[in-house]
Amino acid sequence: MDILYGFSITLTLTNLFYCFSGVFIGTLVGVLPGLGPVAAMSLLFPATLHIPPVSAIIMLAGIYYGAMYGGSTTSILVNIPGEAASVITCLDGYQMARKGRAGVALGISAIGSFIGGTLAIVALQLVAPPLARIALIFGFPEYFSLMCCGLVVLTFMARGSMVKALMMAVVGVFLGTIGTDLIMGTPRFTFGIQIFMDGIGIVPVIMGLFGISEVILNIEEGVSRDVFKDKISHLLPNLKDWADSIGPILRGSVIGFFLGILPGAGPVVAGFTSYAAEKKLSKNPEKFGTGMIQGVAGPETANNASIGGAFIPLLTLAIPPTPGMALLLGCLLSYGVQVGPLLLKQHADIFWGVVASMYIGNAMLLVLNLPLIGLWVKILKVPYALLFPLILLFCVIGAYSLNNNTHEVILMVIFGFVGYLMKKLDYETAPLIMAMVLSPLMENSLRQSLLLSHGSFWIFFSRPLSAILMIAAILLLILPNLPWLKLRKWKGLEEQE
Amino acid sequence: MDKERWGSLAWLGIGIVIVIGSYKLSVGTFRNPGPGFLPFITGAILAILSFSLLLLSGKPEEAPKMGKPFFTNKTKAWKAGLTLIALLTYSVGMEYLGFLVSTTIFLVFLLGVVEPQRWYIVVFGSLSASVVSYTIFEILLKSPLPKGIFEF
Repeated sequence: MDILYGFSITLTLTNLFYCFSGVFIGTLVGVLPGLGPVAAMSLLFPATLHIPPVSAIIMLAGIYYGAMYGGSTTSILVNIPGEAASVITCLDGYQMARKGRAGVALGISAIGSFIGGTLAIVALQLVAPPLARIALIFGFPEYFSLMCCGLVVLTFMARGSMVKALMMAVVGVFLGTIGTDLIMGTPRFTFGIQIFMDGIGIVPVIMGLFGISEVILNIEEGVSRDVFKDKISHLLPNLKDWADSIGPILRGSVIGFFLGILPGAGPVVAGFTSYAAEKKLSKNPEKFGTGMIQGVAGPETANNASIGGAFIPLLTLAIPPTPGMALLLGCLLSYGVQVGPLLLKQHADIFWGVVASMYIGNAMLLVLNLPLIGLWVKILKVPYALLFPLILLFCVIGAYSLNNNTHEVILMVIFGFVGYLMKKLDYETAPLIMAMVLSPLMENSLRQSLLLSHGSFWIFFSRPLSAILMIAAILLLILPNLPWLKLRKWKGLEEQE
Repeated sequence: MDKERWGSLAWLGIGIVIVIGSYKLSVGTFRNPGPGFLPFITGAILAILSFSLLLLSGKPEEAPKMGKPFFTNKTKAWKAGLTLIALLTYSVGMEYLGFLVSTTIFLVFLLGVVEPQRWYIVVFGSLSASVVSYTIFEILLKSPLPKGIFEF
C-alpha cells in the first residue's frame, strides 16, 4: 500500500515537526490580515533549503492549507478575511458571531475544513496515480498545448478584465525567459547583471508581488480591526447545526475538489461557488447574509478541499493551478526534483509523504484550531502599525537568505512596487506568477515541437490530445468576447462580491 | 490622462522594448527558433493587447472605472511612499552598515516616522526586533546576514 509508505515517511519525529510547524505558521498567517499564505511560504522557502525536499514540501504545503483554517477565524471574529479564500465567510460568519454564535461558526468551519480537506486527499490519492500514467504519453506538443490551455483557463477565470489577465500571463512568460537560453547558451535580457544569468528567482518575485505590495497597500488604505469582544464558547455544533451543515459540507467537498484542479479557480472561487450553490439550494435564500450556518460550512469546506484538488495537476503534470502551487513547483525544481508524471516513480517518497502528511496536518489543524482560538484572538489584537515592520523585516531576511546577497532583496522591493501598481490598476498577479513558473518548460516544449515538425505549427493540431487542448484554449479565448454569448464571468460570484 | 491609459501605455512601451530586444537576440526561424523567439512572441502579444486595452479604455462604458482615483487615501499615501523608499535604502544600505545597525535604523524610522509610536516602543521595539532576528538567523540557524563595516 503506497499510502502506508507515505505514513512511514511522515510519521518520523522530524517530519511531524515540520508538518506541525507548517500548519501552525499557516494558521497564524491565515489569522493575520496582510500576510497571505503565498508570501509566508516564499518567506520560509530559504530556511527549507537545508532540509530534505520531502520535509520542506510537507512544511510548505502545511502553511498553504493551514492558512485556509486560520483565514476563517478573522472573517468570523473581525469581519475582515485573513486571506482571500475566506472573504465569503465574512457574510454569514460575522453575523453568527454578532448573534452570539461565534463559537459554533468557528467550530463548524474547522470541522468542515477537516472533512473537506480529508475527502480531497482521499480523492487525490485515488485520481493522481492513474492520471500520471496517462500523462506519460504526453510529448512536447501535448505539453505545450496543455500549458497554453492552462494559462487561458487561468485568464478566463480571472475576476477582472480578461485582457489584463492575458497581458499578465504574457509578462510572466517573458520574465521566465530572462537568463541564459538553455539551448544556445545566449544571455537574454540580463543587462550584464550576474544574478540574472540563472534567471529571475520566483521567490523574490512572489515576496514582492504578494508580501511587500500588500503591506504598502495596507499602509495607504489602513487596516482597521474591531475584534469580537464577547467570550467565545460552545465550539461544537448541536444536532440541528449538524443537520443544516452536513449537506453543505459534502457538496463543498465536491465543488472544492473539482474547482481546485482548474487553473486559476483555487480556494477563492471554490468558496464563492459553494456559497452560491448553497444559497440556490436553500429554502430560505433571503436569510443568507444574516448568519446562516450553511454559508459558513459550505465555503470553508470548499476552500480546503480545493487544496487537495490543486495538488493533482501539480504533482502529475507539473501544472500549478494557483500561485501557492507555483511556489511549491519552484521549490521542488530548486531541489532538483523533476516534477511531472514521473514524480510518482522517481520520487514516490515526496508524493506519498506529502499526501500522508496532509491527513496528519488536517487532524493537527482540527486539534490546534479549536483550543487555540483564544490565542488567535489575542494575536488579532496586535495593531497593524507594530506588525507591518516585522513583516517587512522577515521579507528582507527571507530574500537575503536565498543567495546571501542584497540583489535579491532589491529585486523583491522592485517587484513589491510593481505589485502595488498592479493592484492599483487592477492587474491580477496570479497569471504572472504561474506563467513565469511554466515559462521554461513551455519554451522548451515549443522549440522542441517546432524542431520535430520542421517549423510547422500544425503539429499542435495533428495529434489528437494536443488538438483538443489547443481548440479548447482557442474557444475559451474567442467565446467570451462574442457579444451574443456572455459565457464569461462568474455572474453568481460577482453578485456575491 | 487617466490611470487606465497610463497603465496601457506603459505596457505598450514595455512590449515594444521586448520586441526590439528579442529581435537583436536573434529570433531564428520556425524551423530553427532562436533565443529571442519566445520573448519576441510575448513582446508582440503584450504590445497588441495593451494597444487594444488603450483603445478599450476610451469607450464610454469604461468611464466609471477611469474615474476611480489612484490614491484611495491621499493623506496616508505619503506613508506608503516613505516605507517603499526606506525599504529600498535599507536593502542597499545593509551591505555597508551591517544587519544589526541598518535594521535598527530601518525599524526606528518605521515606528518613529511612518507610524509614530511612543518613544520607548520605538527604541526597545527596534532594538529587540533587530537583536532577536539576528540571534535566530545568524546564530541559531547559521544563515549569514550582512556584516558591513562594523563587522556585525
